[in-house]
Amino acid sequence: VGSRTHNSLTICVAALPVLATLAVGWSVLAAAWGGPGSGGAPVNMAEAAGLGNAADVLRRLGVGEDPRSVLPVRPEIISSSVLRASALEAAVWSRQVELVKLLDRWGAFDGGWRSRIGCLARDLQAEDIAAHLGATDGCVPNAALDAVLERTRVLTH
Amino acid sequence: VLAAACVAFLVLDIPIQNTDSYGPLLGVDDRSLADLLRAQMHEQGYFRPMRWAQIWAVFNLSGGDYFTWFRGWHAAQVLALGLFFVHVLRPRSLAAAAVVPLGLAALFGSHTFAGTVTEAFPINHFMTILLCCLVAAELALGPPRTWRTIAACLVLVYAELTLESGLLVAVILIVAWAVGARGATRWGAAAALLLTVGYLYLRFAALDVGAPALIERSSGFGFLTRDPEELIARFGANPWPFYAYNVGTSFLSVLFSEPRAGTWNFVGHLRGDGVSLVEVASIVSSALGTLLIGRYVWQRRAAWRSRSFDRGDQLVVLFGVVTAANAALSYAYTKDVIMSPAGVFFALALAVAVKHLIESAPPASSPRAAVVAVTVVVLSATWAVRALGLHAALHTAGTQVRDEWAYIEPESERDGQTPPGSRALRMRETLQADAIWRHPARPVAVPLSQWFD
Repeated sequence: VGSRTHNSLTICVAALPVLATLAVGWSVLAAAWGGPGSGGAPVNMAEAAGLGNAADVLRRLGVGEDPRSVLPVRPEIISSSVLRASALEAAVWSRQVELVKLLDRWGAFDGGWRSRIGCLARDLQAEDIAAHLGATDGCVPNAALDAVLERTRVLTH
Repeated sequence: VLAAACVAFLVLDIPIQNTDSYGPLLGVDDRSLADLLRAQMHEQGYFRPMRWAQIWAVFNLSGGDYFTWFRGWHAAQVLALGLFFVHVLRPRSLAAAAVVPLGLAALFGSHTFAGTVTEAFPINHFMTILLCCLVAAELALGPPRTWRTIAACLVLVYAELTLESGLLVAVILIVAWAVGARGATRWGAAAALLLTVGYLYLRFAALDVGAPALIERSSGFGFLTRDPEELIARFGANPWPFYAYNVGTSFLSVLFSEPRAGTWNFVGHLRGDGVSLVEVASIVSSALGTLLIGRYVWQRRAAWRSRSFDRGDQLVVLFGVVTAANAALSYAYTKDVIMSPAGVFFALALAVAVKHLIESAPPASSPRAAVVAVTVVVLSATWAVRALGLHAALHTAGTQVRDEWAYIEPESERDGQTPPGSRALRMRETLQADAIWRHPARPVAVPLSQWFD
């Protein structure tokens, strides 16, 4: 009887840490060899910007991806109302002015993009981003935001 | 081995930091070892020549491939730590083997351990000290040999000249001898004492390096982290209560995971927004572990009174003394990672205590057997959760380091301190390219960080 208790306790004490180690080992191997699930990692620059993942945004800029391209965005990244966005737009939703400055250093806001994204920042009340982009009082309230949301509405109807 | 390999693999996913790493790398660039060591003799407050020697050696071996060498060195240290830990536990029975996974979970899952792998400067010298402590314990607890005595003394000198907590190696050698471990022989224990006296003389009398300024960093006190100005205002005239607080809270932190770095987070959350399950798991795992170690000490008290110590006893005594000494060394300010040597010995003592619990368990028909079984399951479950938390912390650390590099401004927009085309600038560009392009974050199959935030 004592031996049975002994063996049961031996299993009890070892099982959970061993299972945790195996789970982590599986996770590590799956990640190393491109196994199942991306685990919420961004799959394009818009998602990276929406998550505020500056390193991934910079990496993609470095390999020539265009931050102005409108790309599919999973609902958990920004919201179920924003399923298509550019990295510039998604960066506003991340509310990280440093990320916007990073994109700016790469010349991403050249042309009409500066005022358009500035107005989006104003619509989203991201005031530090709006100030950085020099958004003026000339923005039509919610027009920039509606333009982004419209892409998802078109998709879902 | 798998547990240590997983941690080591994730350590390899963290790039070299900008903060705390770029500066030291510049500090060793284009300098001779003799020059570096000479400079250390004139430092004020810190006497860590071997820390710089280690950085210098890896830097020069790297040939410019900093990521591979520094991160590889860190990962190799983690692997070595896991192997030495198991070697010190020396599992020789089924029960002893069964507690090894729990011991490793307590080693890697401890809040004191996380700082040894989530950061590097660019070598994590807290990790070096952990290795020195385990090597010293292994040498001291083995059969008496002259080579062990010599090796123990070399490890002690290396540890003391690396970081202040290297003094704990002397504590280990002397206490191990006092409880009957003869691996490093009586000469080893005597030499440890003499070498420590010599170190203190060199530091405080011959070189006049002194100790770090008393209140020079932010430190936890009560429910908040206080900045130096606030600490000076409160304790500047009489710092002794602050030091006593730091020593006391550092000691409690190892036993109960609370307070953390001098701050009573769990109690604060209980009074405020509520606590998370992960926080509860931390407190329960440590408190239950401490309770079982206490039970072990109580049950072995008769043997200890008759000065009869087996290997398990020696490890538990080492845990108690190392924790007290480690807490005393934290008098100036508290930080989880400073207590990492005590955390390692807690994990060893826990494994010893749980093995004893299993071996002395009552028959299955006894009601006490159910209590023992529930205790063991709760303990292993909560430590398993904490071990998973380390993997989340490593992933978060990698993300933070990469984001830090992403936000580094181009030289043209900085204050122009670094001349264009200089070695310093080239090094920074190499480190940034390593972090962003050459070694981007690996995908995560299971995003644990969201559960541990």
